[in-house]
Amino acid sequence: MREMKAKLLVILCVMIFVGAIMVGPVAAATDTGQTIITGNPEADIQVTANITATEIALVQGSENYNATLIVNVKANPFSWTLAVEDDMTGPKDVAAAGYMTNWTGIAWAVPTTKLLNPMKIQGSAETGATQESEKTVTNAPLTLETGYQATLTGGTNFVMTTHQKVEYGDQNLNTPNVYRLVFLFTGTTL
Amino acid sequence: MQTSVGDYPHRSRVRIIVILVLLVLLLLWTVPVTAADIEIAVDGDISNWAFTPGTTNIDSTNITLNVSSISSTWTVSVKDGMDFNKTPGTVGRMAESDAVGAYTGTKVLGTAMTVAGPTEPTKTIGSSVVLSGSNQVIESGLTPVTGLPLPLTISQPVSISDQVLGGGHRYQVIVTFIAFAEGGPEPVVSGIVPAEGITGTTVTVTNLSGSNFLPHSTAVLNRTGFSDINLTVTGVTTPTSMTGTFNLVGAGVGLWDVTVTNPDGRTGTKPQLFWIKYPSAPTISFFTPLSGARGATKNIGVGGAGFQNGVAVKFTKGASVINAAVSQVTSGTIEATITIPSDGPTGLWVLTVTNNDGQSASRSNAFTVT
Repeated sequence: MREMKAKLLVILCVMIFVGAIMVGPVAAATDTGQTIITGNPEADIQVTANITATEIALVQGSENYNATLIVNVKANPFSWTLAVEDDMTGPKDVAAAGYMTNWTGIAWAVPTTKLLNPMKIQGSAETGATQESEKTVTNAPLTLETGYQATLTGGTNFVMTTHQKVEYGDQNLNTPNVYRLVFLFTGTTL
Repeated sequence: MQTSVGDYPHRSRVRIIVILVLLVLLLLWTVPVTAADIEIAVDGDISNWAFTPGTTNIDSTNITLNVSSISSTWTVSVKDGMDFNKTPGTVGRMAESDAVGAYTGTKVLGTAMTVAGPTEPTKTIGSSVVLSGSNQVIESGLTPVTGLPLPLTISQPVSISDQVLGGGHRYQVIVTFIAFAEGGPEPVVSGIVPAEGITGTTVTVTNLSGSNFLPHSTAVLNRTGFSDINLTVTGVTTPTSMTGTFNLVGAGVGLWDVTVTNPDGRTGTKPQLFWIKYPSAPTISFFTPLSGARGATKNIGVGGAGFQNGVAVKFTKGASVINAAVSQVTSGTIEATITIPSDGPTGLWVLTVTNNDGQSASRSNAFTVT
């Protein structure tokens, strides 16, 4: 009798064991977690001119307005400025800063010869920026546009109207010399 | 007469076996097999990340996953948790939030974030995914692990078109990680309420029923030749039920399969469970001509309402069928041609008009074959 009880107990245990194996480990388990990521772009501005060099016709006795230069500004903050100055690379005679100056094709001519009137320039009125008044170019940056919002994808194109008065007293140059001025546009985030 | 001397060794063996079995049972009870199958801890975050415009900003030091799994097969998926009512159109991307983390404003980074998990030889295979609203696996385990640290690489492309936020606002995304230890059965889809919806509308699903659903299970309507329609899950997913909404704007009419996918990638599908249909069924108000002779070819016209491009027109009498060749359809008229079989049964036939969503209208005794 005792032996039978023992056998029954063993069989019972084996059945529970098999049952436990079949039921227990198949349960799938999941767990979740989270993390928060925050950030902000650093302020940045990119300025691109659509042309690297252009030749404009200068008519004596005329104001000579020209609007072929386009400057593209991409700015990601809401406050920024676009300024212009005479690049002065060469180096250019400081006394000729802001003036179209005799250029041999490879260097500034010596002695310095320049037009009688300085170059003036004004940017166009575009959404997202305040158009500043026409500026007389010097070797110090002068603000042409004051941005009050970030530019949209692709940036904002500003048409630059150059204004170069030419008088009869301005000397005509022999080829290949030309009057030349290199604009330096600078974008600044505020 | 028996003595107990001879029984002693036998009883002892039995007792030993019983004790051994009980020990094994005790072991099974103590091994954690349910919630402790897998555990993840997300250590770290990235706060006020100063993005450099014009480049892909990469962080591989601040966020580490720690994984423990007694299962040898496990996964960790990642998705945009879309917490705090993040706008659906911003899924996967960092969106403007205020200083306390509430999504405010309209600014969103132009490119979605990428999350990559590392590969630990013999332990796990890592992969890189672009963050979205769906679970995507970044770690696939090869062996049981205990507290395995997995440093994640977060990549966020930023262009100059991504605006700087002011006023204490910043871009934010809450990344949700879902760990899953395999061993469970695949999901089974059994029904959906409602089982139909009107194309161009949003339908609220009150019960997508089945079994073996898991937290973060996803569901879609799917059909060959069409893009999946995601269920935007609302409410709590239970093992037997999901709720949410389907956006049926632009959805093709007809019968769609319903598929549920668990975080481990296991799926369950019930074919042709959901019917997307037009707002109304077609109706027939008139038909011409009323008769035709055996063997004749007739131009026919059907007037009514609710006809759609792709509508089918047929005549039936018992097992005999004449399918019309439809040439022109407006919402109120159908022009078609039929050829009456020379051996077709004479008498009255039934006209049936069926739109391509399956909705139909019939008119008995519409046409007489002479």
